[in-house]
Amino acid sequence: MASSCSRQLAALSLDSRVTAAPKALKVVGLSSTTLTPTVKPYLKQAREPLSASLQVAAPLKVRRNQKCVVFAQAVTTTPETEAEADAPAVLEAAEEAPPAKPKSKKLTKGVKHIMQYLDEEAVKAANEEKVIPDIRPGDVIQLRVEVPENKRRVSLLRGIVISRRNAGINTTFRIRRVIAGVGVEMVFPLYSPNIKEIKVVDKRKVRRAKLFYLRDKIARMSSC
Amino acid sequence: MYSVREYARLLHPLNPNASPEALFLFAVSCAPCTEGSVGFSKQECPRCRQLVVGSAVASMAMAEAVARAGKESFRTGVIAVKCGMTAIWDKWGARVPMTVLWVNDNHVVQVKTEETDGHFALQIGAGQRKPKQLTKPELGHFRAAGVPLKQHLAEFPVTEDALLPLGTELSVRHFRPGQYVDIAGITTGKGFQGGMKRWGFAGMPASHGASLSHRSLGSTGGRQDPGKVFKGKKMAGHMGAVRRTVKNVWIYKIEPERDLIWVRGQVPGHKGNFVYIRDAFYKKPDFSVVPFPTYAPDEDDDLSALVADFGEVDPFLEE
Repeated sequence: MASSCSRQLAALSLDSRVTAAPKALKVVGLSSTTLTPTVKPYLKQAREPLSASLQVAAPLKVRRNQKCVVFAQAVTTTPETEAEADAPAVLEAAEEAPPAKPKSKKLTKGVKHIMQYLDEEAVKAANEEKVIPDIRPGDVIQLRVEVPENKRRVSLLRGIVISRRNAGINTTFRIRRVIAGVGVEMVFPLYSPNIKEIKVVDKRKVRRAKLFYLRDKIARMSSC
Repeated sequence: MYSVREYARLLHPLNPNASPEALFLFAVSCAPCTEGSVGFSKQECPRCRQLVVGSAVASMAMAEAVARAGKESFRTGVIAVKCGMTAIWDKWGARVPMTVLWVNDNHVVQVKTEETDGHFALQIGAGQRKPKQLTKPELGHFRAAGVPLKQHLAEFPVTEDALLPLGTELSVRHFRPGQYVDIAGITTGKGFQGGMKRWGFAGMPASHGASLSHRSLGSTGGRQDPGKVFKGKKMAGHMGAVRRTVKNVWIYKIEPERDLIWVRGQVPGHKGNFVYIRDAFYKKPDFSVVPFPTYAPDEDDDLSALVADFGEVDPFLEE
């Protein structure tokens, strides 16, 4: 079943154009969108003739009342469903897709999906270029940063991560350090190409996601 | 009989195989049809349903004009949907804010000419719509053009040599990365706003005895002379939700496969709004690089993304 967004997202991903074998349709994960039937995980699939088990590639964190669109293909287990599943034909021919049937006048949902997909792609590309370790609040890290404004000198910075703000490609983190008696906080985008290397030196036990209380504490707590 | 696409390709000024037959083309008015409806040669006139018989002289002149897109030529624009904003790092490490625009199924729905409507323009339609969501006059309008049902229509004034046949599909390849465009859209509505937000007034001090007028307009004029408040005095009122144009926006990337255009900077309106992209008026494009009147699609086209270059000079190292 082609959803309302299927046509809009039909041309989005080249790499996930699956030439599906009729028997076993692979799970293609969250971000592949070429005309795979979109299934809302909390809806019953009783009407679907497929006795399918829906597998999700990446663990989903869905809040209770949040609608979530999972782009995955049902793994068919019965032979008669392959005749009914028009997914192979739908997958092969992206150009002959049925025209989109928009559900509402406003396109805000569709464009949100486009932006989400672009963001995931950007993060994936950035991760392929260099290894970015998992940074959590409480880690003491050491950075090699190239500062373009300072004649491209590579400086070594060190500090404790006091916050991490997740926003896809615009994910930022803050490090704090007391330098010469003065508390200094620095904000960096995680995927910036100016950060040449990140090394986690130490991990402290913290019970918060944001360690802004360190600003009121004595200097020894922020020095590292 | 050629299809619209074949005609467009045959007529492409850079095509060495452009046949004289293909010179019968864009926006030829139908001679038998008294209303002068526009179609193009060897196709059915949408009004009188006969084969369009255009005048050869007019066609030739127009074809030559197409080949010589002159300084005065102005191409059509495109309707896009504002998807959202993001940012990229350019090759020098600077952060560049980007807006992503989605060109959603643009087709030419109506061609307006001097004879029929008094000016030259193209009405472009974008989006999709179900038949039950449109009125019968609207359905007939799309049926006459032979295009799928559209959600949004907008008119773009063009010069005569930039007219396109009915039903031509406009893609993102109408533009080139590195080009400048003007983007118009309905701005975000802000409701009833006061002088400080609407006009940038300075307001009055927050303390030191200022009574009950921290954000007010202040004086509105003179005294007995002129004895009135001038028309157009900046005052509080409704702000936003008007059409505005952002000029000289630089196109960074074009993705033909996904119908996306990435531009640098801001674009008026909310996400999901329709915006109108046209060639920049004050930085006109070079028609030897940019397709005129529009991009003629081909089966074996390369659908990879085209990205503009950020220049060879490192902006941080120059003094």
